[in-house]
Amino acid sequence: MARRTPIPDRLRLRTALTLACTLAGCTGPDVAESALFVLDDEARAAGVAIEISGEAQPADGPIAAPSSAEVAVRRGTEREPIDAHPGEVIAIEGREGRVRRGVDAARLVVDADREQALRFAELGGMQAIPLADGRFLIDGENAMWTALLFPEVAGRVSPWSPSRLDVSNAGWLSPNDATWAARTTVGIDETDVQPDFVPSSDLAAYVGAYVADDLVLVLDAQGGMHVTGRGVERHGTFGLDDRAQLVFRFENGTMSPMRTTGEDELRDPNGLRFHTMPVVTPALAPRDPSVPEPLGNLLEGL
Amino acid sequence: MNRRGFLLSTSTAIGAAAAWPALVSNAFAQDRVPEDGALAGLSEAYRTAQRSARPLLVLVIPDDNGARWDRGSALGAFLNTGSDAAMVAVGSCEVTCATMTVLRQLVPQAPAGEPLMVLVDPTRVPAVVSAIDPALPAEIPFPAGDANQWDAHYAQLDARVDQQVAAIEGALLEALRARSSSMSSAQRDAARARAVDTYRAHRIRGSYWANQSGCGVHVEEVPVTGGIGCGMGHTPVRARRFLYFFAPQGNPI
Repeated sequence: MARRTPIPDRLRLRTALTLACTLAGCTGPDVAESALFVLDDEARAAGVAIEISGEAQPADGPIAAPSSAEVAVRRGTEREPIDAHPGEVIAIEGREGRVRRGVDAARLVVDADREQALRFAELGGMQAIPLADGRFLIDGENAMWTALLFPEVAGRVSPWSPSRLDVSNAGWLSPNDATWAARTTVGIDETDVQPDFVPSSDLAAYVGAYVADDLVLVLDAQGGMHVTGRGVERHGTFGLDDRAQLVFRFENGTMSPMRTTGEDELRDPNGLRFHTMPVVTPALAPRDPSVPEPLGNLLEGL
Repeated sequence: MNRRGFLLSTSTAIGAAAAWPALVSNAFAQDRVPEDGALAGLSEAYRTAQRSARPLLVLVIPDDNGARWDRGSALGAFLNTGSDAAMVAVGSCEVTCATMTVLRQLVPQAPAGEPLMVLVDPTRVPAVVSAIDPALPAEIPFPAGDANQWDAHYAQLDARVDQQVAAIEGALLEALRARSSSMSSAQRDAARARAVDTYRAHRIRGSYWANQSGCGVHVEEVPVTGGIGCGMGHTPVRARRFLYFFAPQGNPI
């Protein structure tokens, strides 16, 4: 696949927002004075709706509610008023229309095909990350607000829920990383994703440093695995298999399942137990008078 | 000019020269970062951040000893005197201190160089990582001239600290804007209180709180057994409590 032209930073978004504001005569929502609501698919399917001043709003994209307006969640005949703060993003989730506050405005999920997801992501210099369920996670500053202003590009939008969604590709980076375009999922077709070895958000719980006797194991934040000690140095990657079992894949291609006890102990097939590396907290005992005093403390002493 | 201070500082220098061999060995001992600024401490901070769904904010300890003092002073002034909004941002993170060498062991995608801070979203693999590296004002050269220049020099030092705090605050707020803006009023209050109670009142992993008032440095938690003082130096009030990125020598660490 031919790599797409790298998309520059937030300049494009600013330009687009400025144009949108100009074309719309600045009649759109005031970002500083509005809260955003976004429904997930289950809530939409169950007929849950957001009412602003008694009027039900279209539910496919984010809904902006001015702070002065009366906002409520309508569930059938039930109506729950919501006190929303300016700038806040609130998710309405599930058939029950549960209210979840503190939603990350920089992440959302679009129910779109690959081209549409990339087009929307590129609009704001954001990243489109394919999810296991076929949708795309959009990650980037002001993702929600961009979706609000460009609903025809965003399509159907849902809040991002980190506990439910798995990312099926490892090639994403911070939008302000100058090399993001070269490594973002725009080029996903060029990466070698193993269907039976899928990095997932659950993996994050295992990132850390571990020890087993004199062996040190580091599971790094990029998905890398490093074992050192006893004259051994081995590298590879770690992931979850299709049964959500932690698996190490060494550089020579061999794979080793790991048994886990919670997230603080990992046990290899030979019974070797790795525990999280203990922190040596400095114990500040009274000073030995035979040890010279630090210059600073000497000077401060008077 | 403060003549008494000058005389005292001169006598201090003479005394220090007499103890030179011990000071040299101590100076090298000071190169070490505090024990919990190494891999195990960073790993613990990362896992705590991941489990609490907070971003990990790494205050970067420079390799250069001189830069450690300057950066520790700027970060200390920010943490002690930053605005409420800044404390909300700090309190919404898990904060730790580490060198870039240690950070890259656990976060290989960490940015190049030695940015002032690195923000890591630990909720997934690969983690999203970004540098927070505001331009800080240059050092103020020591004035060589008559006594009339000292007041102006002190004013410049004070202004520099103000600029440092403003630059750090601006960059951090920008980096965490989305997160901060999505917090409720109660969450903001809790984050602010957490910043003060956890990071201002107590040690941050990989550093100590220390105080300087012009000449000496007192590392908090390290017993003081006496010594000599001087009074010539000047430290801006906002920068008197600072982050000390060294292992205090003489203690069993």
